[in-house]
Amino acid sequence: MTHDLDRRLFLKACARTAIATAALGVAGRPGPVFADILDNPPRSRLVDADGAPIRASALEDNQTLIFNYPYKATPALLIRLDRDPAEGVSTRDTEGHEYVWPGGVGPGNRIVAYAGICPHALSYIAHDTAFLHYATGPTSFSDHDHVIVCCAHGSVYDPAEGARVVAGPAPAPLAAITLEHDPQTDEIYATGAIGTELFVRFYKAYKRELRKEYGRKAYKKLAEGDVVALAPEAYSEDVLDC
Amino acid sequence: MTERKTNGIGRRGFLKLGAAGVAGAATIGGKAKPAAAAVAGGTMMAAPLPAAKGPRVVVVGGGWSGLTMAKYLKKAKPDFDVVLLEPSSVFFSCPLSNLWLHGVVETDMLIHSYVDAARNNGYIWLQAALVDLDREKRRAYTSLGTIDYDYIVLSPGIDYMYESFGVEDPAEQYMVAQNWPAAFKPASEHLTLKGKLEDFEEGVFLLTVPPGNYRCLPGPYERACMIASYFQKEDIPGKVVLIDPNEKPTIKAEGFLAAFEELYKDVLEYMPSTKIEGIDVGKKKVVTDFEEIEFADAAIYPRVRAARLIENLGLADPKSPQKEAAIDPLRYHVIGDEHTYVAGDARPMPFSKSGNTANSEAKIVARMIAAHAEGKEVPWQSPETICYSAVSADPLESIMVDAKYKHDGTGQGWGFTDVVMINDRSKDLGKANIEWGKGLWRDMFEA
Repeated sequence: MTHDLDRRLFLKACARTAIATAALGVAGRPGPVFADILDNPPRSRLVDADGAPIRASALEDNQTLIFNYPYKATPALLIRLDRDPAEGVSTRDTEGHEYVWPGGVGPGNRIVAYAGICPHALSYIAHDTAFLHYATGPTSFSDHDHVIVCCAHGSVYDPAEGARVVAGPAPAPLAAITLEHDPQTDEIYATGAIGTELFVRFYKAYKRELRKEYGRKAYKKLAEGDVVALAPEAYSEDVLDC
Repeated sequence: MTERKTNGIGRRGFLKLGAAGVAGAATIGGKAKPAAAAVAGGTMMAAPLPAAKGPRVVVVGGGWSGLTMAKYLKKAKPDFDVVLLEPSSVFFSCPLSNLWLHGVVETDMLIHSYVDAARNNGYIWLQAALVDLDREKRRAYTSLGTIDYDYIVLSPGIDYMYESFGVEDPAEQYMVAQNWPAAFKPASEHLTLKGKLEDFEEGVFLLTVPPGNYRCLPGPYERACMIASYFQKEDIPGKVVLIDPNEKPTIKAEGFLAAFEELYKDVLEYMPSTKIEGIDVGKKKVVTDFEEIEFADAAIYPRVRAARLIENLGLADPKSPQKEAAIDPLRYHVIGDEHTYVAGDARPMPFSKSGNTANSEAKIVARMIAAHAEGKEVPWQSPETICYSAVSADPLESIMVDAKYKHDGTGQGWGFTDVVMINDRSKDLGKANIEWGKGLWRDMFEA
């Protein structure tokens, strides 16, 4: 199994384009181009700092957790919503490729997750500073509440609607992380990502920093085994409030 | 004309568009400059470029507008063959340079490679300046030769108008410009200003706010804060005097006035509603409508105008006091010529002349040009001005504004809309301030 991110994603993107082009040729008009999904994504169980599984029914309303997925260096944001998420939200990634947001899992399907990387200018939830956070009240940038906000340029996303952009300059929703809930054990698994072009951009932009932080080889590997999910304040030294 | 392969609209479609464009240009008659070839005595060679692989778009100026334009033209229409003209060898950011003057951020954060921008985003950077334009033939004359194009976008930025201070004599204008550079056109002016601060002994350090719409509305106020803070930090017996023709700061007034009063009372004197009527270059004095102020050193920021290139190409609006381009305010093209566009700080619309405005606007204009090339039209969208200002350096604390624009339907009457103004300075906004810059540099130079 290869861990070469750039190659994997570029090949994937090329394959998609080829399919789309072929379809265009046959039909004579543009058909939908679907967002990339990760090939063979890791199936990662979410655990706490002590290695104990996170239990879906133990999550409180509006509780948020940060974990690195699908890569060892890409942060994701999980939220236990206090409301029912929308169903069948159809949207597009930063490349304009279509996808249907798969929604949440667990009790009431209220547990959702997204990449903690803003698709506008790639500000992200870093260990030193979290530029994105989940706010239950109105924020500086909009009157909307229960939103994910990027403090760098004020993009605001609704996590109950596939991270639809409700304010600010972001061109597309946050990339969706797909989850699974095992009703027998009450455990939560991260199982994939949609709109993976974002990760290519992320690695291109932060290669030098990530190599320093995670090591020259490890920085672009896929997550392996259980992944630790932490409260935002435990994951980042400073969580910006804006 | 260079041989072109187009896979989007096909060669026939391209030729048809070309013909329509020529007809459009013909309607403006004498405005296109037939004498362009005279620049090179008719012998100018073609610029050293590979053959265009699709409709060629030349972007003039590697600032925030041009860099974003070049990248997003490629994104909007991948078969565009985009050439960015920028004579500077390196990019130096004006945004965040006030923090750099103080020492909050290092030089390497502000400088970026045009090579990186071009190779990461699929266009060509030609290190050349535009000299003249034959809009009928769609031929650009550059310092490295001619380029035949399908579209040209001018993002040349600003120049200064020293005559706005009553300094008319070019010799005196140069004295002012070189002795007390404004430092709103990077990078040499900025390097000189930083050296001045490091060398400063004592006395008044003079800063001025220009009249009219100028580059970076909060810039002079932020700079006053950063220099005042630097004087405090270095224990320099100096005082910043900020002369402003406006009644109060032109933006984020409450936040700036609070910082002036609470943080810099002893080292910063703010003089609102004060007009500069003359500069005594020999005696290092400015003459205002009230008094004469002596200074030990200064960064004198005059009224700005669209870059002289716009006027030299015959594209300035004769009615514009700041010599801004005569373009369709909603479509960005020169009136009667849908193959020549002007964006960024040379535009006539009263938007904030700022990096974020230029960046967000260029994405919109790029989509418009791509749509035009395909015989389509995209609806007008407002650019967005997201702008942080540092008011304290240690700890770093900032204030911010986020605004869009609305028009009266004709593109003449403009106003702000969707305004978010945060005048309470905070450390979180300070961190966001730096990330704001990093994010936009990533947008322009990286993936």
